[in-house]
Amino acid sequence: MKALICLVEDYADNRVLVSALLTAGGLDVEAVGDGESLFRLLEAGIQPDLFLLDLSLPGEDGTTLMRRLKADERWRGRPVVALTAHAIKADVDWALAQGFDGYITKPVDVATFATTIRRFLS
Amino acid sequence: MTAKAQRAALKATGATRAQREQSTTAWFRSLLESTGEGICGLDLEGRVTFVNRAATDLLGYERGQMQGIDLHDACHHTRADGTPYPRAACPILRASRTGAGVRIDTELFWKRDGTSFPVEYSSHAIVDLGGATRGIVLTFTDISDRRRQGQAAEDLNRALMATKAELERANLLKSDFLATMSHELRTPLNAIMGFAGLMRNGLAGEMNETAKDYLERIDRNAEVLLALLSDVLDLSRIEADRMSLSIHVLDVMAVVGEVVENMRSLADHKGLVLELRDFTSDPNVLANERAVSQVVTNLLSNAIKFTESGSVIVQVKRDGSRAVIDVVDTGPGIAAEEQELVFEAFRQVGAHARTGTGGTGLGLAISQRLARELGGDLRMTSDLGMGSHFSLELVAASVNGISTDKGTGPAPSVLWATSDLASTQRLGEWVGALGLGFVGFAAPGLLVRAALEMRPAVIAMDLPPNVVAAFVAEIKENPLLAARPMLVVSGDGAGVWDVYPDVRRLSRPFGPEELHSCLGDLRSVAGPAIAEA
Repeated sequence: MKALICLVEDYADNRVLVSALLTAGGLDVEAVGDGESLFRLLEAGIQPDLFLLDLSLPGEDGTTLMRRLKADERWRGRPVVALTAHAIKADVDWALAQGFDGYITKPVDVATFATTIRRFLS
Repeated sequence: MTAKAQRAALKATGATRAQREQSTTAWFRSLLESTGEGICGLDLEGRVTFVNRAATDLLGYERGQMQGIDLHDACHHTRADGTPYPRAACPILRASRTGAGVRIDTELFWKRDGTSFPVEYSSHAIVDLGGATRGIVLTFTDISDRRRQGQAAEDLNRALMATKAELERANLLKSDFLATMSHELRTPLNAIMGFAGLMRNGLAGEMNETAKDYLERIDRNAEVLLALLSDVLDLSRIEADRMSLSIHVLDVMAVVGEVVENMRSLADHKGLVLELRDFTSDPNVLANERAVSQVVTNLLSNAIKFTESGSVIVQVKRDGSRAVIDVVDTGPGIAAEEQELVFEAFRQVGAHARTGTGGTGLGLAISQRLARELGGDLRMTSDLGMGSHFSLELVAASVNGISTDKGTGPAPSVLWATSDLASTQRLGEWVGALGLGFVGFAAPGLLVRAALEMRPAVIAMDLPPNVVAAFVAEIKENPLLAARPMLVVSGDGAGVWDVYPDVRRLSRPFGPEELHSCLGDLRSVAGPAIAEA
């Protein structure tokens, strides 16, 4: 069975891009634009294997969403990976210190993106 | 001529006693009238016994009108804030009674026409032959001009401070704007590069050669844009001073050597000779490895990019209290009139700009700012057609008894800021004899940052007296450093010990014994700090 990645990204074109990369890499994707839609999806019963969150989102930001996911025992074991255009090492350290399991900076590397995500799944 | 001399001169001419006294009185009178200061005599009750012309002029009276009037009631009755000035509180009346001297410059005198002026006055007792006070001589001047000048200077100063704050705020806003913009632009750029990449990788089906070529061009330009954004972000971060670079002891040969090896394949590819020459007696510097590596990488990649044939030589040497890394190429060089532009942001000069050799034009601007952040500098010399020569200067360090392996070694026990690095060789050995580590350097501007990073057991300074107090204060005011034992070498007081009596003073000249005893004292004050080192 294919692993299911849940992507939260408010910039529509990047949502399409990341979905395409994951699909091409043999992964299933559910993509939404904000935290509210994410939790609606989860209430509807989907079972993501990994969460991929943009950091700057309308409404609750990526870090807040990550904390809510980590606080919920249904999702506690699932990796939560940050996706953002902040490219400074200090930002990476900061995100990891907040509790993210991993961090991918934009622009994403088309050739290695799906492989990188798979690494977080194992 | 003094009054006494005047009398003696008259006596010699055979003048009568009466003539002599008359002459003396006239002499005093002319003295009194010649001064621009108001002078008046007051009796014990504060009544005017005599005045000079300046006094009547200043207070708006005719000559003779002031004789016998009560000075406080006439001229000193109301304070500057408009409230009555009670006689009981009047310093002039008190002085008149007691003969005490006063000097005041914060009050007003009132003129006969009801206007006032800021006054400075002082009193001097009149004492009779029996030693009893008979009143005072009060001298006073109108200090309106002085007040106005003081006020003008104060206004100017305030305006300057406001402008400075405004500029700082504007600069911060600019840096914030650059950082935000650079970040915001990455999001759409991500989509552009991503979709181009998707298509290039065949995820949208097969494409013909022309389409592939166009995609590659999209990709290449997006890469340039991305490099620009990263550089703008770098620059804005340096300017916003957020990228406070941590300072370590580094082996600069090791750092430069690594960069040279990383660049070797680029040089080989163009058939250039790339050589690293070690002329340094001591490779230790105080710097930040990432920053040094970034600057040297930038210099080398420029040199290789712009040199079509010949060589790129890197040499590392010591020059006094500086370590110098020279990058010399046999490229086209830069014309004299363009040389000062190369360190400006967004400049690519001469042929490079015209032939579109690439690069963002920000690399050298960033490199120079980084070098200056590290207490060093980045300079260039070049002759058109003869190649370019860039010199990166860093702060040299004199190290004893600690490992300098990429700054991961233990903290030094003694961090020694000096203005004469040559002297520290010996000091390091003296400190080493106690089994303590030592780092000396001649760049006091780095002291606080180096101390914060290294946490030495003792912070020592051997600096000119006019700057030492400021550095001591800077350390004492930093909560993370205030408790560190400090040692100051000084030939004179420099005012440090009045304010910070716990700073240990080491008087010049001193030998190992004096230094050891000084460090021993500090050890007893802050035992654990030295013991831990």
